[in-house]
Amino acid sequence: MGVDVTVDKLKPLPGDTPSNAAALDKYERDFQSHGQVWGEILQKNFERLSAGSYSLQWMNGEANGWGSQKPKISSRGLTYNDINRVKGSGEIDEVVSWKSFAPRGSIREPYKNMMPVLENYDVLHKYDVWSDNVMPLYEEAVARQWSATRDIPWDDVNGLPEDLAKASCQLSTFLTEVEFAAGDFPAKWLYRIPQDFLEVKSFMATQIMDEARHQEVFRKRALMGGGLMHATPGFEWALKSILDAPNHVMGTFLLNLLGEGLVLSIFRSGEMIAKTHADKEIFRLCMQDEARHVSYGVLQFKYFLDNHPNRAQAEEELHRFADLGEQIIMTAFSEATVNEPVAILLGGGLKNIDKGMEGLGKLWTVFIEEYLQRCDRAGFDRRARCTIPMQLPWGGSVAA
Amino acid sequence: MAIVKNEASATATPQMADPGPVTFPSQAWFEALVAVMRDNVARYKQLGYADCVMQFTVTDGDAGKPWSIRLTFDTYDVTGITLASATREDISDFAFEAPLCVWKAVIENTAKNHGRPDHEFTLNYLSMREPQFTVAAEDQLRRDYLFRYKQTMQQLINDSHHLKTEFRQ
Ligand SMILES: [Fe+2]
Ligand SMILES: [Fe+2]
Repeated sequence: MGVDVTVDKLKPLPGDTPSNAAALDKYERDFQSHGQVWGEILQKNFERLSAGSYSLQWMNGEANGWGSQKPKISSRGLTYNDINRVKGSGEIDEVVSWKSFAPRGSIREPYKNMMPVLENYDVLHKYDVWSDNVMPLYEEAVARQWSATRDIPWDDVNGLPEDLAKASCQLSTFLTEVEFAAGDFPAKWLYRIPQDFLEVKSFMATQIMDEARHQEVFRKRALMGGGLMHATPGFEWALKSILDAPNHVMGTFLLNLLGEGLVLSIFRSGEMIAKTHADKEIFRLCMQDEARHVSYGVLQFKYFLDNHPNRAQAEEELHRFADLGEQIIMTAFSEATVNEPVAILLGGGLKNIDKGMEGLGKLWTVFIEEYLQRCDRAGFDRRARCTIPMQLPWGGSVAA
Repeated sequence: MAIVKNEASATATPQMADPGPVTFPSQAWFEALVAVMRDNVARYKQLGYADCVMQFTVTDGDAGKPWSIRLTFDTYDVTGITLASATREDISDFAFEAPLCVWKAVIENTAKNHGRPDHEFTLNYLSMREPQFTVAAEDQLRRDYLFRYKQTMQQLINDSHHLKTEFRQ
């Protein structure tokens, strides 16, 4: 063979330590491929700085009427609504063409050719993300934040009998499991929504924060009450289905309108069946956050339908998606790790689980009616097509 | 129910002049309640602002006929307290509707517990479990306002313990 190979000249086998070399290679190549624009920016600025001169070109604000208008401060402070009354700041295009970070309303046109294009910004139609309540909902979210560390009287959760303690911990484990999916969904889409929809992105950021806190508070509740209990495969599939939704509007329907609508109902039930003040407080605080997410979902859905160029087609596709979405949610809620702890808490103990299941059956009918009413409000009539039964399919509840 | 504890109000005691006994239901009672709210504004600011129009209806509060009042919430304040028609069309965002005996039980329980009602007397509990207590709204989106501002609404009711309430017979 003629190749001089000896053991001492062999390269070491690849180790277990993951290497970032390939990713770094690509990053360097990408940088080099835009070398010209990097070079132009640096050269122009370097020459000016070397010459000891100033540009001050940025002081010319004529192009957007700098100084000609000032927002009026409202009773609660300076809101998005207030600043959006300033001409040039509040107008939002029906289809966004800016795929960079340049702020809406800034003087950005002269620099367009020097800017990168972020191809990940691909949700460009306003009807795909907007809702008429998104600005007040953002302001409300900021104003109504709370702390799971500070605002819950944690020493109050102890002292429950074992069946109620376990039911509370199982319910908390289930809620911990679902909460962060409701954060991952807006996080996934946030990255694809361009900066011109800044109000929507701001609201989505509050939803991510809210869901982080919900995950936190239920995790703390479970651990304070004895410990985390069982995970729920049915919900794992449902949560994955939400993240995999074909587009933002369909995902928003499944998460915000249907899924979180039912979670809001669970929070209301949670407050009702709570045996401790701490639990009451947890559910009321979470309820407030969840109701904002649901309200965004309802009016986003409405905005989409009202503004879509082909409403009939859009509606039919959404019905097709809802046929599946309802089955996804129904399957998830059939899990024992969800409905049995609720029934035990409703009944007041394991020995009253049948009574609790009857109570859950009555609540279920109310919950589904509320879901259908939210669809009505969005202009989406699901009554004839709804695939979720109005009554729970297990014994006791129907006759109750 | 296995263990029923009291509702905590997390409220600093407002420093207010004793307005003397006020009759429920009446406009004066709700004005006195809003005065307590204003004295307790730090708590309402902590809860965050609320913007909605809420109606209280006592279904038999006017000599057996419905009696109704409308409260306009704006930021951390109630900027309007007006007598309203109890008809459903007149509801702005949502309305609590219950007979005097239910309201009396709520107010008395809240007072007895110094602003910390027993668990069966929270607004949410009543709206889900008490057949005579309903939350009426034109549509679900407006009913959802109640859930968005639940802590503020509960705080308002909790603050009623600062009033000396007499009940219209
Ligand atoms: Fe949540
Ligand atoms: Fe949520």
